[in-house]
Amino acid sequence: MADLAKYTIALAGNPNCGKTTLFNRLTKSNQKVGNWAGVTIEKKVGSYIKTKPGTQDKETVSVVDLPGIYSLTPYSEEEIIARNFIVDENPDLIIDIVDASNLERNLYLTFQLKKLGCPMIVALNMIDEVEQNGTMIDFRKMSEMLGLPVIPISAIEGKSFSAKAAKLMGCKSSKAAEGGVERLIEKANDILNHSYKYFKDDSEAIPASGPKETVSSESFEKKKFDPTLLKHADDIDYDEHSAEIYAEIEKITAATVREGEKHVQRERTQKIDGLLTNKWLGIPIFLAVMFVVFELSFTAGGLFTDLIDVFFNEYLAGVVGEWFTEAGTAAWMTDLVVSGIIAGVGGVLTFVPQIAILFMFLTLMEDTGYMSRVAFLLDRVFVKIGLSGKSFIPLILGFGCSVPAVMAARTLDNEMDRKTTIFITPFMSCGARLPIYALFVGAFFSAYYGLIMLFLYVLGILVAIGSAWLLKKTIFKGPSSPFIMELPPYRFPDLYTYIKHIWEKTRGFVIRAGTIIFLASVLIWFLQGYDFSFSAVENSADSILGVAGTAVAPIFEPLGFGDWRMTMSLFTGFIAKEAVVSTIEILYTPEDFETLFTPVIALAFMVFTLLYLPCMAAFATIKREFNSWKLAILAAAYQTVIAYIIAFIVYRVGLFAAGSGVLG
Amino acid sequence: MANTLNQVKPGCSCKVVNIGGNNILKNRLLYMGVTPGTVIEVVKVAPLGDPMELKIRNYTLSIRKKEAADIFIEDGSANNTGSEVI
Repeated sequence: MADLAKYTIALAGNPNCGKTTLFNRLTKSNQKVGNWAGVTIEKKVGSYIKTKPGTQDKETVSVVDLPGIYSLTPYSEEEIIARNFIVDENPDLIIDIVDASNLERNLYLTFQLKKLGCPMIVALNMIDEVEQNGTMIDFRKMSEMLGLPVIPISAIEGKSFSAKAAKLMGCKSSKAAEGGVERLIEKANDILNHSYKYFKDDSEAIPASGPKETVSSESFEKKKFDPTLLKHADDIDYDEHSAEIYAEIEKITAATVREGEKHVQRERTQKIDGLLTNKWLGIPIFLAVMFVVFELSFTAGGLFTDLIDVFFNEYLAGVVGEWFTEAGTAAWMTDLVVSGIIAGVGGVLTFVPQIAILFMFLTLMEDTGYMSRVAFLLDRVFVKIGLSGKSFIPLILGFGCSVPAVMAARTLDNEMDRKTTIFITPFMSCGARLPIYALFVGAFFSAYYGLIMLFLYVLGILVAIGSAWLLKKTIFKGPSSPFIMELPPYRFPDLYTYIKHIWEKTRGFVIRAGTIIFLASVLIWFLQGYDFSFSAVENSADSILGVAGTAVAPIFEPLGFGDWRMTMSLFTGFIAKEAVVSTIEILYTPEDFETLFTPVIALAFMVFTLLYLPCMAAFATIKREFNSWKLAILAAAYQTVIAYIIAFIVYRVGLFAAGSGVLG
Repeated sequence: MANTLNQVKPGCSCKVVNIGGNNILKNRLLYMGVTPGTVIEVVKVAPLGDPMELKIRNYTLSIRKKEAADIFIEDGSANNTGSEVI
């Protein structure tokens, strides 16, 4: 699709300028989401078809959504990616989306982009909001002064649900922006048809887009950024031209913008912030919001979870089992499909609704602008352990599932903060560990259910805090980057873009269930049913898993879990945490379970499963986000060693207490 | 001692004279529009005492007091804008 495109358009703009909405409108369903080479930042490429002028031939125009950035300085991976894409790939056109309600700061990027010398159009977005305040902008004059075509648009205008909702709320649609997106496409096609490349010295060639070099700056000539610059960011001279560019921008806005009397959006945002970041109410409201999000994710998600569980483990397993029996399929085949694949894959898919619902809320918090307020509220707390307020969201998500939690760490702009956050996120006790606690607490501590649960969750948090502190002092040491964060105006998210976001985030999880988990389930099924000569065994102690477990068990002897079945259930916990429970249930008879586990061993076992390496899906995500096997393995090893040490302490202290009669 | 932004009370505005600190900080503040001569209004301080919420060039920016201490402001330029202190 995109590879065969005749033309390439790059979409550039500040964060929160409506870039994604415009991207969705330009490319509709022709989109592909991937990653930029070498980094985890999302790369979105789409395309649309245009007709070659004077013919009936169709031509594909590929549209690349560059990361949202404030500037082209090499301070973040996003900035380097955006700049290098323009320099390396020479797009045929840049569409620079400018938020008209935040003109001065948005135009800064416009000035920098212009210096790279690509043909460029300025799409002046959110015109409807500006007009609502009675503000008038002279587009023609702005275009003249910038030396670029300026087209007023409203990216959410049109048939979208949000546009209708906005109208219902009393927003008038904008005259100036009417048909703006269509005119933008027309203008873009016009420039593409003429194939203007590097029209820097050819000001006659394109009407109203000839270069007007008003500010010269050597540092912004057409040259690539070396990604290693990030490591030496402090050595880069600051751009003395920033002030000059802003002076230039002020001249343009003074000549083209007549401020209206009203401040509809600003007042609305101020009113909402009066509550949400209120000195007394801000934090209580935030806690209430988090409570509701969790409550709904777990209860509403839990309903679906039960349904999916019933569907897979009872309905599907039953039906498929019968089919196979009727068709006369070999018993081992039936067993593989039913107890291996359906149980394994189904077990993972049961968590998808909870993840989807959690993401629904999270994305809503993000798209409306509340997320940056949370970072604003909590920054002070996180500074104490060397992180920033932006670390909060990944960590809270960790209580649900480490996979989306680790991915959420992408929002952190400081690389060291991001890595530290990913490293400690698995210590947040995830939902899949609950069945393990439920099993042991039910068997040994039923009178102290709440107390033991609280102990485990708090232990996880304390270990996370201690680890963050340790990591920031050692391997992730680095200058703390300044905390400079925009608090964007509250806006309704565009419904289409919103649903797309949730789907993109949930999809990866479903795909993993069908691939990695599928293969792992087959493997475990085989290992616990067959011996080294590949013949089926009666007693699973003779299976490959049994023999291997017996060999490894002595390592765990000091923690109290010297029985091979305990050891092996910890290993299957790597596939998925809930597999620990199913393995225990398969391998143990109730009598064995009660004689081999004691309350002290059970407590040490729970502590170990809380802290040791995360499940495979989380590990794979951590590896992808670190983009390094070494770091991912280091993290897993660290978590396991910590788990070992703390479980050891719990076991020994427990034994001592039991021996001296304090316990039991 | 020169006046810096971190000393400005919520509800007051001031004019930027210069930015100190390291190059990363300087550059990032500059490209976000905190340039000499710009008027900054301190809207509020987060409930726990840090960071600060600022109004600048018609948008809202949040920075820590530590960063604000590197932004030098015009002597006596801090004055109450009369806007509501929340």
